Amino acid sequence: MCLAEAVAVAALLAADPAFDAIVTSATSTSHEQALARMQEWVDAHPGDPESARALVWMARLRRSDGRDEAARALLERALREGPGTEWALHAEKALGDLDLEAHRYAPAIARYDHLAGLPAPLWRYVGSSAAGHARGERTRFRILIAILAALAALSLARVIRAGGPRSLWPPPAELLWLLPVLLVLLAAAAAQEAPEARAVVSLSLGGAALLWLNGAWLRARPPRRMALPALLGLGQALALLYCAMVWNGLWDKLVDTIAMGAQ
Amino acid sequence: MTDSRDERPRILGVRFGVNPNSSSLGVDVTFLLFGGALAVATSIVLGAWLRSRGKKAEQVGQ
Repeated sequence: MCLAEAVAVAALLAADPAFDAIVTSATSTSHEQALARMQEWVDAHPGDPESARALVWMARLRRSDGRDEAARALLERALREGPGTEWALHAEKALGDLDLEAHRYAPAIARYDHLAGLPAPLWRYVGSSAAGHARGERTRFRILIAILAALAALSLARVIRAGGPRSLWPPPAELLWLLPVLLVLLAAAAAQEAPEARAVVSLSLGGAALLWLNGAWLRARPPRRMALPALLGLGQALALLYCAMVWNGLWDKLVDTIAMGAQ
Repeated sequence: MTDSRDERPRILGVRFGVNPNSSSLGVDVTFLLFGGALAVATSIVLGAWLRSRGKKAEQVGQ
C-alpha cells in the first residue's frame, strides 16, 4: 500500500458513523451489498462534498474485485463532483494508476505530473515518485516491444531460410528434451500468486517456442561453429526472461530481490 | 507445582534473512523463473554444440 492509499484509508475511516458503518461492512463476501448501500448514501446526499469520498471508496472496492472499467467511471465522477477537494486528488492518482496498468503511459504521467505540481508536500511527493516510476515503466515497455519485434523478425527469417513452415515438423530434439521440465514449470505456476504465475507460464510457453524455432533452424542448417548460435540462444533466453518479468509487472520485485534477496 | 520456565513465552522458531515487509520475489518463484530461463538457454547451447559436432563429423566422413 503506497502512502497516498494509506492516507486515503485512514481518512475514510474517520468519516461520520453512517459512512463508517458502510465502509466497515465491506467484507469480501458483501462487496455488492456494501456498494449498493454506499450508492444509496450518495443518492441521499446530493451535492454533499463527501460524495467524492464515497465514490473513491466505491472505486477502490471495484478495483479489488478486478472491475477496472467500473472503477474508472466512479473515479471520473469523483473528479467531476469533488473539484478542489482532497478526494479529487485521490481520484486523479487512482486514474493514473489505472492508465499505468493499461500501458497508457502519457495520460498516467500527465496526471502524476499534475499532482507533483501541487503545493501540498504529500501530493508533490506522491506525484513525483509515481511519475518517475511511470517513466521507468514506459522505457521498459518500449524495450519489451523492441525485443519482441526482434525475436519475431529473427524467427520469421530463419523459418523462411530453413524452407518454410514444413521445417518446423517434427518438433526438434531440443524441445523434446526440455518438455518435461517445462511441464513441471507450468504445474508449479498453479501454486503462485497471479502475476508470478503468469510470468512462469509466459516463460514456459515462450521457452517452448524458442526451443522449437532454434532447434528447427539448427536441424535444417547445422552450424559449422557453435559460438554464434549459442550466443544468440543465450540472448534469446535472457530476452524471454526480461519480457516475462516486465509484461507481468514484476520488474520492481526483481530489483528488490537483487537488492535484498529473495523472501 | 509447575516449572516457572514452562510458563515463560518461548521463541518457537527463527528465520534469518527474512523481511516480512519485503516486496521481493519468493525463493520458489525466483528459482522457477531463473531456473527455467537457464534450462532454456542450456538446451539451445547444447543443441548448437551437438549439431555443430554432427556437421563436423559429416565433413570428416566425406
